[in-house]
Amino acid sequence: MKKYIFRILAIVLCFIMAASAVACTEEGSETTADNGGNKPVSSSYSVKYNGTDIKLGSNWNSIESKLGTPVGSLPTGNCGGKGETYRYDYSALAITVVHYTDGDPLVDIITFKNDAATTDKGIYIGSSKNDVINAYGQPTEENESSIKYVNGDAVFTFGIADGKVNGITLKKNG
Amino acid sequence: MKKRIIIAVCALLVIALLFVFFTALVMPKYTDSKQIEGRLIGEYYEEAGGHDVLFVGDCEVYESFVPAILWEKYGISSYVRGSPQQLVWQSYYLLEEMFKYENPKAVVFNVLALKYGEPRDEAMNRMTLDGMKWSSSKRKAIRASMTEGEKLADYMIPILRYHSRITELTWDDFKYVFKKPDRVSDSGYLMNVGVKPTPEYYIGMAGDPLYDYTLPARAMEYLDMMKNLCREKGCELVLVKAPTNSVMYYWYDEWDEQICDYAEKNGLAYYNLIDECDNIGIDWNTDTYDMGAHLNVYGAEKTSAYFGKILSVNHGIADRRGESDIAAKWQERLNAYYARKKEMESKQ
Repeated sequence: MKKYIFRILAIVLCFIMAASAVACTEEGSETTADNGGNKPVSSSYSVKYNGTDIKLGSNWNSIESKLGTPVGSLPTGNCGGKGETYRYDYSALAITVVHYTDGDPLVDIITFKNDAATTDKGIYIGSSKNDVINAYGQPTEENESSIKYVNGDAVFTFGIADGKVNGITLKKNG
Repeated sequence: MKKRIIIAVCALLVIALLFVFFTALVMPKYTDSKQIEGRLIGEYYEEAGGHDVLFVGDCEVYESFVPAILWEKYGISSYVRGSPQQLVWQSYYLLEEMFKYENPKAVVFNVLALKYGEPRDEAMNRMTLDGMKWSSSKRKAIRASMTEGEKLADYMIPILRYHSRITELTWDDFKYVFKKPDRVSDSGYLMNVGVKPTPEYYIGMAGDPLYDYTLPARAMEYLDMMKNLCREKGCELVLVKAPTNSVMYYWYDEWDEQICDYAEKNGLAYYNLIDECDNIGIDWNTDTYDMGAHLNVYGAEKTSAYFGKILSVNHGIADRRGESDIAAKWQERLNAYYARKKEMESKQ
């Protein structure tokens, strides 16, 4: 009887080792969203406002200390425990910041509201489409209403209407 | 030879039991207060059947419509099968599945999710899909929802996906390995008694302009499928937009026009409750728990009272308070609802 029990245990242990080898061939990436986006954003793109250069992935505390207190701040709502994301409004920009539970609050999206802010190459709301192409080259993607440029992990989207920029957003690519 | 077969069978049985146990152990239980929404979809099966109205959709649906109030005020038997960021194809397959249990008079779909035309986020997918029992509807929902890198096998054999949780197990994982946690919802409604007013700066603020306001074709295709499915099952599809309109989850006029056009062309009713906030009595100082993104229970009760009248008068949903069997069940649910509300308010 003991002999059979040992044989059964041996087979089970062999299975467990085999299963572990199969199950662990991939990195076990998180299925909860809190810490899925907390990685550096590599890109030369930035936004200039009130003498401050703002890049995606910048530490929000540092940016806020330079820009001053926003005129408004709003949480996006914690839909399904994705973690706290806040929108901070200034007169010219709306900045979305993700407050990672295991890290610093980082800039995630920058949306232009008027022409008081510019991109790193001097484009603002009201610039011509030609100005954008002269500054950034041929777009990565283009349709009737917008042109996009990708640099590293970031993408600039310029809304175009009647040959002029009517909206600018800087966000992560993908 | 016989003994070898017996040994092999015993070994396989032990392996199978261990497999079932470890799978149940590492599956997320969503007992963390930040992720309890992950339990909403699975809770449906405890109350499946006998509903005249089914709600499907995203967080606006499970935080704006209260079945207990619909029953209390109008005798409407309903269930809210909502989940966080529930995408329209997920709503469709959930509905397809629910028709195996239900014979509703109306299905109410919250239209905000139509802005999404592509799979978005595995974590959110899981909150909807993991709670579904295995069926062809679940399999199709998974296929429609998978993001890049996800595999169907990871949904069929969850331990392939969640094995890394073995190092993150909590006491709740062991406690609920084969036992379900207490219900977090009341017939699918997720209660929140918190009050966090919308800052004045944001009241009435329009959303950031988009570069393209066209609702995605794929989303509209699934809306069409939902319409056809409801017609096939002999029930009415009612479109609704919940009264919340935070700048972060903004419902653009351009989208609203497209839905109005669609509803008119297809003979469907569409109610944009954003326009009815004053009639509903929404006060953004008292009726939201997160500065206007979602309603709290006070806002949801007002909305349900308003919308219930629409369902009753405009859509002829019957008052079933006179039917003793169903009335007895709903009295229990109503008692549970008010007990939960009292308990949550006492902790504020």
